[in-house]
Amino acid sequence: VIRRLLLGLAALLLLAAAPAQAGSYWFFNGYLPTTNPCVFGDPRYRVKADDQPTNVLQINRMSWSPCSHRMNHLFIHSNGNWSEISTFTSNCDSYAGLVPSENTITQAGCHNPSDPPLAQVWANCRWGIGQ
Amino acid sequence: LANSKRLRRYAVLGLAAVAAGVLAAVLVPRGGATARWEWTAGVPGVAHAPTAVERGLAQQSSVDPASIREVVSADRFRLLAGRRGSDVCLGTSTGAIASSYECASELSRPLFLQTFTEGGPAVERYELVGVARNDVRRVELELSDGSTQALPLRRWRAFAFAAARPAPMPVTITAYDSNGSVGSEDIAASAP
Repeated sequence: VIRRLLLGLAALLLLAAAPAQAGSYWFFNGYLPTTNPCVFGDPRYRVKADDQPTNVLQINRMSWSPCSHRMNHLFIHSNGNWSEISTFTSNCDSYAGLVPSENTITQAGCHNPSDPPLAQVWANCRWGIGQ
Repeated sequence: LANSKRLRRYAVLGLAAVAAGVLAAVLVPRGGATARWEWTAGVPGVAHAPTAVERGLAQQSSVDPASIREVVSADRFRLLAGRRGSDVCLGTSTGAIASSYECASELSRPLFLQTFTEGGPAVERYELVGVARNDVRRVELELSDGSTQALPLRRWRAFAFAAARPAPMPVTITAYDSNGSVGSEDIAASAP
């Protein structure tokens, strides 16, 4: 019994020690505000593919709650301009993608639009291959 | 006794009729029993050669890339349709940036629409593409200057809009069936 308990404990420790994200991509998981600091102005809310090839499809994934309003896939260009696809899917889980080397886009994110005025929305925002 | 039985039977029949009426009113959407997401042509749209990004996003959504068609376009932003099994699925693309697909069996709103915006400190460009459920008769935009603009329903009940600053940008979109409004969405754009 003790052996089994120890094995179980070891398995739990291994799970806990595993990185929160597999592969080399960054993601944001938490509450997105609509008020300052805004998504674009605060790097905490940006996600950026890290050590990923730029000549293949990279996908921005966002899921959000409450599932009652639109959310925007945010793509940030190297000159500071931005492009967005705004969507409202039935299950509030959406993907958008591009090949970075064919664009000037180097970072992505999820934008909680300020209209309708939701103070904050929980978002799971990822940027990387197959996300 | 016979009269009592007959009365009871009539009462039961009457109650059943009322219950059926209530059920029909609850279950059948306004505008009739035909509010559905379907097109006589199957997958709506004209032939379209998908870009590599569009093919990738189609595969991400389990949509057959060979089935992709173009339904409508604003300026650079276009609405695409494809097939997942027997389901018709809808997505958008600029060619370089593409979205995942949402399929007809998953749609619960009277309009499927996505917007594409670009800018710097302010919103510079706004494009919108979408398609309406078959009970929708009219789609209307409310713009940032307070005016309203009807969006014509084109072939396959598709619609599109494009504007660049300083022209007024959309704030709200409303769908109407033959009885009135069946849904409205806030679609105002803001710089992130």
